[in-house]
Amino acid sequence: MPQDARSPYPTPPIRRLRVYAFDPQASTRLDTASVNVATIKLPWETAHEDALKPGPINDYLEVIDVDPVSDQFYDAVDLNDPHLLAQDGLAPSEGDPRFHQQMTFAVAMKTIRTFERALGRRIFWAPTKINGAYVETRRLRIYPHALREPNAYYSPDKKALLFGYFKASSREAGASWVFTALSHDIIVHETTHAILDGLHRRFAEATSVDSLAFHEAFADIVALLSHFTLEEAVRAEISAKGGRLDERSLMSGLARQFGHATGRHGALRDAIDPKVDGQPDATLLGRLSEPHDRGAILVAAVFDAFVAIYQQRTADLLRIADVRPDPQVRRTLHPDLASRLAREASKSAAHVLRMCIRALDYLPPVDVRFGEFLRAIVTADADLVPDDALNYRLAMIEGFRRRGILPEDCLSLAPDSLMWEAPLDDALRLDELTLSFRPMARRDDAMTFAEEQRKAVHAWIMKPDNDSGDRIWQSACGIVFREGLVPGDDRRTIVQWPAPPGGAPPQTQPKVEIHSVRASRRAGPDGQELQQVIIEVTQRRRGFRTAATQDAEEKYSTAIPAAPDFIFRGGATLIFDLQTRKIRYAIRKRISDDGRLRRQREFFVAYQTSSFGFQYGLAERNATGEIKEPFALLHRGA
Amino acid sequence: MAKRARTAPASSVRIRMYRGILGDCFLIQTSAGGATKSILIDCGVLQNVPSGEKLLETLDETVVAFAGRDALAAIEAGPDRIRAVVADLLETVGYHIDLLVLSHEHYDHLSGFALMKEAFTDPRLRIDRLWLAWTENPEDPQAAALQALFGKGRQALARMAAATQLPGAQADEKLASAAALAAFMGPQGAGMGAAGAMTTRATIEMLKARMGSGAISYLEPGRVIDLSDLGLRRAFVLGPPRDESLLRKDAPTPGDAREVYLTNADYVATVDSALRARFAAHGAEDDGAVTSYGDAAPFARPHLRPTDSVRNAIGSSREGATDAEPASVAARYFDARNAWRRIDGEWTGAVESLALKMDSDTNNTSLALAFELNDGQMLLFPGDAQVGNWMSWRNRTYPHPRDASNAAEKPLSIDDILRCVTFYKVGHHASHNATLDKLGLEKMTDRRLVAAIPVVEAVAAIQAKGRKTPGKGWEMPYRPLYARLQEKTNGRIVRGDGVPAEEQRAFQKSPTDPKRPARLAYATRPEGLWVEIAIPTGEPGG
Repeated sequence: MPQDARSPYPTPPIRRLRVYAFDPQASTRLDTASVNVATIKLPWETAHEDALKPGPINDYLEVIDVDPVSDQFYDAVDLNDPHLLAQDGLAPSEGDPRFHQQMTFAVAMKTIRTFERALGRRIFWAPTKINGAYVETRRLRIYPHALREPNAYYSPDKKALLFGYFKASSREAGASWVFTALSHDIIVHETTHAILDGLHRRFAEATSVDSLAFHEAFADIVALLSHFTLEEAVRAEISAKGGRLDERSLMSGLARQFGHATGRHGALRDAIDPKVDGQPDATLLGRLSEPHDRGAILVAAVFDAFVAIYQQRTADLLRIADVRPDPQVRRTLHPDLASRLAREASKSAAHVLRMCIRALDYLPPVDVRFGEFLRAIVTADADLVPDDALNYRLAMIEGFRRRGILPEDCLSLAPDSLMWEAPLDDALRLDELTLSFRPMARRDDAMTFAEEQRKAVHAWIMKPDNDSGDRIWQSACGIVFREGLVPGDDRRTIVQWPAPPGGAPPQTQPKVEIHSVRASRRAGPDGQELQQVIIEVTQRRRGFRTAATQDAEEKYSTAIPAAPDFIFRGGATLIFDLQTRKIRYAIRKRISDDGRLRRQREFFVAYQTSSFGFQYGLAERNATGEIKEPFALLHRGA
Repeated sequence: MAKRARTAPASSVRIRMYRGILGDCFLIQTSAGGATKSILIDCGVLQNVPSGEKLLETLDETVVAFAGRDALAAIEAGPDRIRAVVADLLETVGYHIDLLVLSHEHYDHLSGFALMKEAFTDPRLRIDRLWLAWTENPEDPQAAALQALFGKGRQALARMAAATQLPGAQADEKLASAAALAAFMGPQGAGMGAAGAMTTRATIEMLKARMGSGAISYLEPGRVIDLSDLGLRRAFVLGPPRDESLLRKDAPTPGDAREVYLTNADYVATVDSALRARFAAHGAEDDGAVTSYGDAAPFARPHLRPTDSVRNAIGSSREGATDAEPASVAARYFDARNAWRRIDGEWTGAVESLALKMDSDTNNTSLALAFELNDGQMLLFPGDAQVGNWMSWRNRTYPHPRDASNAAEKPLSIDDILRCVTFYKVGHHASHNATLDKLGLEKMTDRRLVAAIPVVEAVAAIQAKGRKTPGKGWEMPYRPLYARLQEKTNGRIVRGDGVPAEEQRAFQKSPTDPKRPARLAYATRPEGLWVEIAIPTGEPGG
């Protein structure tokens, strides 16, 4: 029980913690110093949550400040100390490791809360495979001083965020030591990687040129749009730019100090892409394949939509004030107008961010593409806000279209043709399944409960019905429940349950995995409530380096199946309406799709082996063939 | 002295590869006007190769089984072997080397000169000419900047190699991997290393010092040199490139992507800072470099809490782990049940990356040469050139020397040169990243192609992480490349650890030319010290 339950005084609603709004560099510059301290407000721990412990450690996070290079284990900050409670935590300071702990904790928690509010449920970390079984990860670890190098990453193996620090060689950084744990953007970016991995753990697999890029882009989008929650900074920026947000600025750049310290003379990345005659290069996407570079295009598309929405929301204000959007004439804005514009910018950013986060529930469980993200955004938003009076969805579509990000198999880019199709079959209902979605107050209980639900759904979906009924489900899920049901779907390379011991005839029961069962409740702007249950079902297939081997393995044989060169996955995200218990969407990636398998093979061969046709080696691996950390801020190497 | 098993045909070029070493030592001999001319290309073996007996003692049984017990047992200690090589070599050339080529500054290409310093500084030995890449030219500003950077990198890695001796560091796989790569750098220190060993830099300086100033050439890519006085036609200088982006490119970049790599200097500084901190933390001496307080930790003294004292303070209260959560942050970290989440060795990833990068960058400074025989056949000696070096060969054509007879001829492209290659010295012991495929090996279309791989597979297999884990060492030769080489040469490959009878059988089974095939010869005393390929040359043509 939290200590304050025994307190005779009412529980405070929020805990306030000071952080750098950007990074320590911004505090050394005249134009940004005044806006560089932000106060993050986190909800006070409820009666159902563990009390906040020194570290800080709470239900979601544990900050462990060990510095292996320096052989130090810094003291943990106790945010419940009266001296810290009375002054909103420690004041921003590069020289006190306890402030670093406070800042990583506060910014990561803020990011978690943003996701929870948009998704309408609690987020869980990806489970960890220990001795072959998946085990829940209760807390994400944060190591603020894990490395001495200009890098930071989310380690999917350790379920931890590792932040590096280093001595800057460039004077522009404004400090001799640069700590990635003090960069708001880097903390948000890495936390988002961890959250996304918890939602879709197969997105970390490199299945196409888009897959890792999506991870990077999404992490950048969240970091960028979070800038606009800092009202002070937004107001200052809007005043300085005469009400415009479509130019590169403090707000549109990511990790500025880090960029300077590593010789970039500016931000690490910028959300505003170069344009020729006002138009971005729509062919660029086809020419890039490095994940961060490709991701930058997706980021630019979303940021474009944000700017368009902001402009639309503020056009009337600017007209009233007689401010013309002319880049040549830059007027000083009335402070009240600047405040109003800043508020609109914050609202627009929050809205775009929510649209993007909600779309995560509408993505296929494996092998995501940029175009599918657009479809997910449009569908998720249309479900919650049927009347798009302010044309937010159009703004989003426009941002994507201008950069050549187009979904496959869509009639047009009109919002209604971009929406996922709803399966028409009435048989696809949750009827027999009794799922109770009572809200769980304790996070641990919710985690246990989610696991029970997952098992219940697995038992339910695997229970054979009559063939015609099962065929409908097999088609909706895009996987194979049992061989012979739809002969055209059967593939010998689909991973089967192991044959029972004792020489019994091999079972031909394909393995089916229920990734997650999630319930979400969301309220739309007009008060309508959306209650959904989202089920992710997937299946594995053995993929081989050459088409010939693949063909040979597809032929029936009783021999022991050959070990695959890569894993090919298929499956579906099924979205049910909890009120009608009917299916709304089945977002599929069919396991029997041989064309998709071929494309993944081509990508695998190009990416993993001969590296786009140059040499005989493994480029993305180190000397002994290990794959490098996939989410590193920078690739290691000089 | 080793006796030649069979005399080669009169009009032929003989290429001798010294065997049993993980290192390069190649001798080209021709007969020009009745006299024998000798070109020596590199002479070295990896520094840390002990004898087979010692290897068998120190290695885990599974590792021995993986590398092959017999293969390991047959290994002669690196330095002993190279002494035998040099003795035989100098006898063979009659103490007269017409042209000495040093491909790049790696120990496995240079250690022979250092270990047999007396022989190579002996005034009775004549060396007429010395060829080096432009990257070795002290007068060249670009080369000087590059060498300064490499110097810092080498120091950082030398410190790293010392760091592996610190308590607790032996267990770290990434450090072991980096230390194995540091072996290519050779011993470090100013001039003479601690054990009297000579650095690679000092070795090159020693050889330069004995040459007259006019006898040293620093070669630029694109240069074509007349070699008729040595019984060859010409030499084409292919690399190293001047373009630094190619010089630093060791792995190919897909598409037009621009990788967000740091500048080299930043990375070196970072790794150096981490290593200094290690020494400061252990209170260890750090070969003369003062570890200032500022390197030890980024925070002031009041914040410092040495890990050991924090750990000891928890005590052994966690021995009987219960289900209860550990109370303190430190107890959580050291909880045995959560050992998989610790990060004690994560930082070494940067060191390993630097070691890899340094190794690749140095390989890329390789002097890559193609020697043209009188009938137009080409002998390709790329050193250990990696992708960037190979790619740069395409950026230019190779003019014919400006003499009257050739003035009308068109300049050659790299594809013209590769098409005529009949002998390929496989780069970097046939590792995965030193032979370009589509624009390299696949362009070598002459049916007479033979390949020589200076490798001892068993030694490569027990390097780096392979020392402890079978199959985790260096894969040399890299199997897909080796398989393709087999196809391209019809099996005509000689290896540093090959079986002579098998190699000869392959050459007999599919001769390079039915009438005048290339022939193999092996040293008889000491048995198998070298293999020699005699390549017949026809009438001038090509």
